Amino acid sequence: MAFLILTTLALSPLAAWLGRRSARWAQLLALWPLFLTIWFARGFHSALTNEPLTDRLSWIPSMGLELSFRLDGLSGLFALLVTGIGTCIVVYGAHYFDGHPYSGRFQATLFGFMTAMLGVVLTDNVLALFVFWELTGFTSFLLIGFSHRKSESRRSAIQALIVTGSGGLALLAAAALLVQVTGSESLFTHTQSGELLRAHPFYLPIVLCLLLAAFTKSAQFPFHFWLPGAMAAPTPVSAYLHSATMVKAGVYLVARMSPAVGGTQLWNWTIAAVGAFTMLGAAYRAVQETDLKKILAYSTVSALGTIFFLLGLGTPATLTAAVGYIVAHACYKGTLFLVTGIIDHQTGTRDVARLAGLRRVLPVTAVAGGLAALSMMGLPPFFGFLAKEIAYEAVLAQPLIPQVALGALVLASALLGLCGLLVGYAPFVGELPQDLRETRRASPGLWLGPLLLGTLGTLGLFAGALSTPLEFAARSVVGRALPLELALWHGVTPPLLLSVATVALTLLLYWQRRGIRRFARPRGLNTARLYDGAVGVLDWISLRISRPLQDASLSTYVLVFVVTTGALIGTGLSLSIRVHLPSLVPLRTYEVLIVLLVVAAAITAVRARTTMTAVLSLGTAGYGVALTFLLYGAPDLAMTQFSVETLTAIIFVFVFWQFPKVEETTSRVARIRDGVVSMAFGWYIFVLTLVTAINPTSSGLSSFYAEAAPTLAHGRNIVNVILVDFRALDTLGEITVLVTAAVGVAALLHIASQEKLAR
Amino acid sequence: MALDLVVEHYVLLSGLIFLIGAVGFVTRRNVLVQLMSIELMLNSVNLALVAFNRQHGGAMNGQMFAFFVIAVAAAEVAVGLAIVLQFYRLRATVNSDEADGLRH
Amino acid sequence: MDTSLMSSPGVMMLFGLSPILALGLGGLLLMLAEAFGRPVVAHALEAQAIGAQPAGPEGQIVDAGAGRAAELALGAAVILFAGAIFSVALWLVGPENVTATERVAPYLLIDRFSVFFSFVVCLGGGIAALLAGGYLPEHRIERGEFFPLLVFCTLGAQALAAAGDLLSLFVALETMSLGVYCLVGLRRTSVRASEAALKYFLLGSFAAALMLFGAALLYGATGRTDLAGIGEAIAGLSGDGLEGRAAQILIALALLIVGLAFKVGAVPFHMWTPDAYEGAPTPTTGFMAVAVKTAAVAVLLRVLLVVFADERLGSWGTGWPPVLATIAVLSMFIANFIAGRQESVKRMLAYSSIAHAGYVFIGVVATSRSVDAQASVLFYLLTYTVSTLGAFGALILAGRYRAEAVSYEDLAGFGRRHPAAALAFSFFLISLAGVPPTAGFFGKLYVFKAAIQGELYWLVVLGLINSVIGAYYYLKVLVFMYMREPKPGAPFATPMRSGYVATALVIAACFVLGLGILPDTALEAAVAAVLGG
Repeated sequence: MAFLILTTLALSPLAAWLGRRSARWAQLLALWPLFLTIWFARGFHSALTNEPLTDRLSWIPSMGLELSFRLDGLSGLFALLVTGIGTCIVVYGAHYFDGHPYSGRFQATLFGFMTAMLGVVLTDNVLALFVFWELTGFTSFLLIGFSHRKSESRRSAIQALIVTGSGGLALLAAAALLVQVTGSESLFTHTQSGELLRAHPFYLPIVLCLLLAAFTKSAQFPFHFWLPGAMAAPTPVSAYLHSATMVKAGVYLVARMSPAVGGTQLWNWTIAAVGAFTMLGAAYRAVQETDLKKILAYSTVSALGTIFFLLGLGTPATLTAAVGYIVAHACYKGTLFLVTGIIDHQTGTRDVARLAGLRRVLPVTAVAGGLAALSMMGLPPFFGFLAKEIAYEAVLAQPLIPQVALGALVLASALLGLCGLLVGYAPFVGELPQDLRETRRASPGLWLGPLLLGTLGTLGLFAGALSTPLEFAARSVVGRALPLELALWHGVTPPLLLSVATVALTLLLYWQRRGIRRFARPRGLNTARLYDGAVGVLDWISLRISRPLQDASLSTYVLVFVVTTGALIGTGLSLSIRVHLPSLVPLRTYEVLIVLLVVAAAITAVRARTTMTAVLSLGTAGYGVALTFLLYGAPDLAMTQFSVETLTAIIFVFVFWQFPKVEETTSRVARIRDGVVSMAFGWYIFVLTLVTAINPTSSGLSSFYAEAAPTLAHGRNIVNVILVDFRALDTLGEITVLVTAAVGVAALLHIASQEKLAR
Repeated sequence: MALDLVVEHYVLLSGLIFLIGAVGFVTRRNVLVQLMSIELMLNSVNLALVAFNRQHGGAMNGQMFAFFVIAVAAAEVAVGLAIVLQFYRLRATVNSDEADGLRH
Repeated sequence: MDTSLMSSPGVMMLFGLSPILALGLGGLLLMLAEAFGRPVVAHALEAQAIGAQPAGPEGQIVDAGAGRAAELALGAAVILFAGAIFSVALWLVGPENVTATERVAPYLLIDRFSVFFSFVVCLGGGIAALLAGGYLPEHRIERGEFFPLLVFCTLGAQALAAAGDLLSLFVALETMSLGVYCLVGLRRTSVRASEAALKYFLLGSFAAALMLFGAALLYGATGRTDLAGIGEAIAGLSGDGLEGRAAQILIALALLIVGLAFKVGAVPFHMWTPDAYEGAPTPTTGFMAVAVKTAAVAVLLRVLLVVFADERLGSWGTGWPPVLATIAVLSMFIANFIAGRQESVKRMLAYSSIAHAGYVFIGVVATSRSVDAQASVLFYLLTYTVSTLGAFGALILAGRYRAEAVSYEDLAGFGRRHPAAALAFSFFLISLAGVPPTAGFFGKLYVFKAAIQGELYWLVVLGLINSVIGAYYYLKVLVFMYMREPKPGAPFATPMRSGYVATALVIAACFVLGLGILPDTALEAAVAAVLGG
């Protein structure tokens, strides 16, 4: 299994190459997903009768990341959706992008996406789940921005990525916590540790993070806005990613984790409430749109809301109904998207008002659209009907909120049915407008996919045969076996009556569709504006902090530096110590003189107004320090200091020759501010020296060098010996410093002289 | 000679010079003076090192350290002056506040 | 392998020091080659012919190194990659088996930790040398000195990671810093470059002086200069001895953190970073962003975990973890916020490097509580090094002489003009953004994992939030490259052609890919390289 998934990725260069050829060649690429579909169908079957298939491939053992895959009912079902619909899309895309300069890029990205999506639904490792999850988001980003130069589609692409990407990070956080709690990376183990997880203090953060991930990916309120924006993507992409597969990843996550963390009030209520709100709001929004793709986008959001709603109610029956709904929706919505794509491709418009009578020019497409619309309305014998039946039945039976829930569901279903009619039926009936007379017929490659998908909906005829696989898929969510009997006819039952009512309501709405569309759009709940606002706020903050912090002025930099350092030292001081003054032994006269000399020279050096004074004072201070070295019995050091100090002074003088007088142009305020800060900073250092209690010399320190010098290194001057022998490598390093400085100075000064010459 | 020097005084002196250097660095705008202030600070470190060496005796680590600091300080001055020279030739100023061409 | 040869102490000693010696000797050779090499007149004439500034008064060569940047670049790259290969060889033999070095260089610690860093900085330096080989001739920065300086800087960085003594630490730090100051200012006639060098130099020297004072205090408090000895002495303090010295030690700690945080470029000691990064020639910027930062983090780890390992100093009440945690949070937030509104991609990358310093510091903070944290920092730095250098390299490739790619607008349509380079650029950027499965993702994952292990959940949450903010501006580059065309009439950068830069990009891309798909070897190496592990 791991091999198959990785092969899909490995095939993407081939896809890029083949995709660039004509449609005839490019459609051959569909053979691979077709093969995968068959393979997964067999895998699903064998999992049904035997054990779930597993496969593992060690990836990064030290991080607990392995490519372990597990094909159970739920995973198998999703894998079938991904590969099956993928087959249709590859064929369709080959024709849709025939001759397009980026057709190769499209096919390659599609294969990349397929890999990622299969990874998401099949992996058993929670960290790998995150990796694949983010990859789906990233490929989606590439596909949304695909070949579009409009600024709107760029914005949508990045918006979609940011929203789903942050959700992905929430998933990572959840994954980390899950691993922390259960000690295992395996999702299967997590589903077995439900009790442990629900009782753990991390339960709340885990649930919140998981739901954040699921809601962002599956476009639930308040994160729904990226999905309509993502409709900037070419239609094959919308059909595949933004309706059938990728947006279902959130649903998959919730379904998958239900046995592990589900079943609590928090979990059920949150999901049900968010789902219900999105279901109604988006359905209402959908019927007001006039762009076919926008209608489909909002209806997808609404359908996802319905699925979440069913998952949230949390009884075994509603969970099963959710799984059924996923399949039904993938079939009919995928079809409708593809149909829209054909209409757009052939006529160049997606405006509901302009489209009519297309059945004359696009007959097969009309059939496909009609089939899908009927399934979406929930008419027998379509799969959509079955899904709705079990949903009504399950909702009727659940104890949480029966009446309200039922009403909401019926209303949303009716609105969604209306959407189906608007897209799959309305454009094909009526009088063909003048400007659409010239529409070319669609090639078989285009209509084959939607027709196939649309026909799948009629599988409802074999209701009995569908029960077993559906029940098997739902078993992974419910956690135990559950009898399920699908049939087109149960007798006159409450669900049937509700279905009839829904269809009647749909037809009523369709009849009054113009009136509905005239309703004002809901205002105030536009969370896209919230997103824009958030981006704006970030921008504002960054402006606020970058101005003062990065004004390019060295004195600001120095001030910040010094103040922070001072604060840090201050904290250190206040944390540690009682200040006690060391007992100062009276100084001797010459000591006092030296101290005074050094201090006076230092002060003069930094206060000097003329260059020469500054240099001379600096030199004097240096000499003073050298004198103290002498006092400390370090003549070598003193000599070095003398010579270096002299040399420095000479260099300074030479350089100063070129410069004007040392004059400064700081304002009085700035000078006072700098003075205060620097005095405060200096005070710290001073206090520090005060509190430095000096203990009597620890005489125990070895006189190793003194003894070893003559014997080991044959030298008498200890300092010399240390420099050239015991510290040889450091001395070498020192020489490197000097060499580096020399080369650097040479390079810099050379430039200067060149400049002079150029002038 | 002078074996009974008291270490504290010199550590204090070192702190004082360090203070003066820091004050100079922060308050002055002339890059040359700022450079000299850094020199002062390094000198004060040397002083402290030698004083501490006195306290700890033996291994002479402090004196060694001071040696290296002196040499490195000289190298630093050289590089610093070269950079200042280059800056001066291009901008005809040694005022560090006028180095403000790099903004976002 | 001749065992008798390998067992001889002299050979073993040379072998143990081989990465460092390779750079030292190589740098000298390069310097000689640069100084005494034959000048090439043709290039200058050509430069003049196409309207470039004359190299000298009569179009004559003023500088022996002029026009030979490409050759010197090759030499420098060979030397630096040789250093990297020696590091690998030393790693494979095992530094713990090479005991002879302790006698010659007791203050350079040749352990797995330093060998790991030696490899990372040599790799970074080598790639930077290749970048310079393409960049300097293209932009007429005829400075042959660049290459010996680069090698010496890398040497300093290497020695810094290996320093086991305050004195060696200081010398290595200055070797690295002085060289880098010069590298920043190397750009001829550029006011911005000289300004950048000036700011960096003044602040850097100030920071070095503070650090040095801290070092002196440590010596005063303990009487030792070797890091391990200081650590022991601090651990041994108690009662009155502790009372008297606590202030000294704490302040030394603060000063050392300030000095090293400055070199790393972490907020609030970061302010020189964007200016210096922008003003410097791009290969230098790349080098500063990776090698200098990496070496500084290495020495910070060593200082914190060897010198200040005492539990009183490593605690959350009285020690360094809260300080570094604050620095980490500030770095991430401030850098990411400001990066988002930059118009220059180079400056954006500068801020991004500050933000990455923040992520690294999360790992450093976690070392106080988690065993994996050190390894995570090491691994992160490796992934960061290759991704960042790759990004700078791609930026170099996007521009030409007098039309350097700077702003986002310059990159509009770059995906069409140079698909391969744009692809590589995207790749490095998504690695920096931490999108799986790239090197950068595993780097972040590992750091965050270590922080979770250390129960620093809030730091992880803040890190995750910042990853999102960061993704925004990295992806903005992708948007411009692929989804935009230059405005009609607007100038845009035309890509340059350079085998050197292309090679550098290929090397970086191989690492990013390799670390993204199969990071396990590197991870295990990082785990093996931790101090005291």
